[in-house]
Amino acid sequence: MANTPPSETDQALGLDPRAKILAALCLIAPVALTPPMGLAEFALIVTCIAATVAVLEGPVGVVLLRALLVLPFAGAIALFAPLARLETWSHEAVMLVYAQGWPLMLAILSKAYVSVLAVSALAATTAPPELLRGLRALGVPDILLSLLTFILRYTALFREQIAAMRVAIASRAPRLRGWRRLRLYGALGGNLFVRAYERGEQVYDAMLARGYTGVLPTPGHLNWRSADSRFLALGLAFGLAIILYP
Amino acid sequence: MSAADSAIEVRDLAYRYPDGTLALEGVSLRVAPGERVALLGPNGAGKSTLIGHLNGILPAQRGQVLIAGQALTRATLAWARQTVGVVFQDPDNMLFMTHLADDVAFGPRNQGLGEERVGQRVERVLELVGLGELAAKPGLHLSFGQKKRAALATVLAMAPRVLVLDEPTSNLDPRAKRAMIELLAGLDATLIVATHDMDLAWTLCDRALVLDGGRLVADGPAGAIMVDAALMHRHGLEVPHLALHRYPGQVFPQDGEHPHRHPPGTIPEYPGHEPGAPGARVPARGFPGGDGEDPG
Repeated sequence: MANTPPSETDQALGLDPRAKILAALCLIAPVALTPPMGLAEFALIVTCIAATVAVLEGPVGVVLLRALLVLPFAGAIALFAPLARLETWSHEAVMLVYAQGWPLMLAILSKAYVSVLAVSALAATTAPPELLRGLRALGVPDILLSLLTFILRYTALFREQIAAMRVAIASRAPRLRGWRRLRLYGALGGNLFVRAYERGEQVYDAMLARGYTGVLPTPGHLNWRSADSRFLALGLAFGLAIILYP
Repeated sequence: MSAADSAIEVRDLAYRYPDGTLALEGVSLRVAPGERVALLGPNGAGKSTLIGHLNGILPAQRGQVLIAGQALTRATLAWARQTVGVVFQDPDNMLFMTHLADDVAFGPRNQGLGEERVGQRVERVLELVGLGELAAKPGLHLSFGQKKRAALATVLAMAPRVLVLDEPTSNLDPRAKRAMIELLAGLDATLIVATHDMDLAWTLCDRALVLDGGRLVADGPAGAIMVDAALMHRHGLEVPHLALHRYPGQVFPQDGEHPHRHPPGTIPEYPGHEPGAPGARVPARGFPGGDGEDPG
């Protein structure tokens, strides 16, 4: 029995999680910092990321779809972004900035999608413990890693509690509609907050009881190999290509 | 028994929660090495608060806790937490890492052990609790019974000298409960078991403490305390079903050790098994997490 079993993906490809994290950053930073990309460039980048996920035996469709989750948030920003160029408030002026601002809106959406796509690809091809080990090895502060660990561990538990409370509401108030229902969900939210707080305290006590001193212990060293260097070099080259593309 | 001879000693302990609730008042007790003690009491009696004091999770507001004769202070806190392992009631609070092996390794790594020894402990302890095949599984995806055993494994891996368990059989189905009792009966360690499960306490423990309203109201041989029907009733407890099955219709004595108490370390029959049959002796398997070194 291995103490910290590596994921099947990592076993198959032997990639160090640091290489994947750095390669993802090599892609995200140029995309975020360079001028808006055209449709062809956007399609090329998305295809390259999808191909990488496929090579790493990740779920390409899931990764592409999951990245769409960012669109409502990026869309809200994109919707108001052209208004920053508005000098006077009038119907015509607003129409004009939107007529001229749609490339900006598309740029915000495409940059957000590509960035989240890279993160989604990283998450889909790296087991969570490996990802955390990689982040720690790259110097991410312990407090952030602890938060990430607990989010990974307790999100499902939180979801279970919400489901149980919804069943309880549906059982005792099946005909509740409108604002009364909304008010009830408000109370449910408050209740969940208190429960989450209490559980946090209990988990912390359990950690203290096992010698926790503020740093999550992790297994031994990661093993950087030539395949990791090649993968990172590929990511760097891709990032440079985005920066240097006219 | 002097303080130095005791595994745990509590002297005049008092604790009041910030909302004003008095949880413990003047609790004093001594537990000898190797003893198996049931901590009984109704809800809100102060059992969990007392447990919280035994390895310094809660600081004593008044009184003192001594571990193997050493007063529990800020200086001895880390050592005390290695010496006294606490298994909390809700296993979800103890399985917070991304997979089981890391959860079990959490304590030994905090003890500063090397990866090789950590791996050995994890392997031994998971095998002991019957979860060796599930090391790579996230704690979340275990059944409740498995989670309970996994929570026990996380503490056993630290090789504590004293094992404190808060409701180890709560919410377990009969089979899982039986497995847990067998597991605990096989441990060669000082045990303090806070429970409402009277059958568990009857099966496992030599001595019973009754806590109610934050005060220690009874302390004596389990065979005497737990069959004292009036005492049990007065403090919201009941005589163990196992005792009733073994001696149907018998009025239990109010004091003195019960003459037919199972010897320590044995597992008696359960309801549904043949009443009166002698329990099978479970050989102690040594302290499972330890690998010979002194954790202190």
